[in-house]
Amino acid sequence: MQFMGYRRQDGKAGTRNHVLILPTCACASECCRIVSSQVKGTVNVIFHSGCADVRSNAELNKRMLIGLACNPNVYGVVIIGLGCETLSHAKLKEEIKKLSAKPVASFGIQEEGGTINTASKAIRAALAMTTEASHIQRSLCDISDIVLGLECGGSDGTSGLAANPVLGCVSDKLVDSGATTIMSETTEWIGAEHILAKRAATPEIHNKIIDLCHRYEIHLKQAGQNCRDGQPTPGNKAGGLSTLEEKSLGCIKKGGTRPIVEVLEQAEMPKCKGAILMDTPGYDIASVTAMVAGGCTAIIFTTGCGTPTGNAISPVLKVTANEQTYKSMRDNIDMDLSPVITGTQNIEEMADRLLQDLIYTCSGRLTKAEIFGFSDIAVDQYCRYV
Amino acid sequence: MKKINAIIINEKDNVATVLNSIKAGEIVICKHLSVYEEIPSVTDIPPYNKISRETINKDSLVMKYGEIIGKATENIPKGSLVSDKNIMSIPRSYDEEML
Repeated sequence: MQFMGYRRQDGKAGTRNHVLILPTCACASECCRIVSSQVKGTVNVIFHSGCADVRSNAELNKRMLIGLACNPNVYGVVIIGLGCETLSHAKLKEEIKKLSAKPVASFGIQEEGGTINTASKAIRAALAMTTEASHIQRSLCDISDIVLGLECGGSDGTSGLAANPVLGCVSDKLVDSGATTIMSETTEWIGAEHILAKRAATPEIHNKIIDLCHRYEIHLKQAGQNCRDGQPTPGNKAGGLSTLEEKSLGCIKKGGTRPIVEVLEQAEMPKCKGAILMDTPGYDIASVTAMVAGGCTAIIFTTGCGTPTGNAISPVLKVTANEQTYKSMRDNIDMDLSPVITGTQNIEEMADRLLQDLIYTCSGRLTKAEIFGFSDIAVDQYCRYV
Repeated sequence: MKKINAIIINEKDNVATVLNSIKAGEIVICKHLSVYEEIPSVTDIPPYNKISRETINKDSLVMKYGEIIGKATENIPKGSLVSDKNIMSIPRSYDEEML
């Protein structure tokens, strides 16, 4: 199987060809929005942080920013910084340049003397970059070039029964074809970690999976939170999920059955191909953000209750097996998997259809969230701001 | 073919997932692979929620996917809604899970 993608200089394949207008910090985010609104072919993200952070947060922010810039869906990057933040625009540019040959321009609001001067220069840089980007043609890429993020959010009783098993089957098919899939959301392994750990390719990976769950539970306890109180969410409970174990047992089905070959930190780029885990929060927006920063060029997102979410850089293909949700939120959900519940299609047949839809999406067909221009972003925090 | 309105995911499960809204007194037709089972419901059950296949006594394990999803916090008669109101999560011993 093949798709039409954008082959990059480093050999990776993008499913999109965006010019990214990237802030170094919250204070530059609005200027990025203004620039992006002026230049077709660009996307921007709003960054909530970048200053007054403890070291662990600052390191995570840095990895996120570099990771978003290096995603193969990004042709080039226009960075806008403020001037007094932790990671300067010049330093961020240098870090991206170390890892990638893509064009990068950068500006600072204090240096340029305000929003208008900065926006003016950044718009010119974005204009030149989008012109170059629009010359690039899609070419045939092998399915093994896909790096797919596996996500679920707003789960209900249909998620573990149908949508996640279908996505798990898609993941197995991709892995068998040499592609890479990343499953995240550590808090949604808890209660099912003993089953997930059985998929580990090595004893070290097995123990790492158990240890990550243990650490997460301790971390939340230190903040006064029992992870079994906040999860399942009120929406999950109304939808038929009563305990964290029940939710997690359904969640991990989206990861399929193939051996887990690597466990990544948030926004870390994989070294291996195959079935991979990433240690992220169960909060879906933060999880998708971290996987896109880790290099996912597409996301399949299963939902029960329904969600409109989208990401600026990678297409988020949303699917549900809840017939009512599909009917009532058709303008947000890309595909109806409910035939698995009604028994008119089996999981394998539905997975073939979903895989075909993924190929279309990777080849350029827009997801509903892309058509609306949605660009949800959340970056996890290890600690309070300083 | 009978019109089914609940699915039993694993034969070890003592709950089934209903596929539509169930009124108390309705007969719920559950399916596991090619085996059918009828449960008279004793409570209303919202779509995609769980119905007990048997009486689940207080502190007994609740099974779905062939795995433990929690324990009963009260006696749950056969045919009842099984929800966060009558079952609870069981904390784990991570140390015992390490290889």
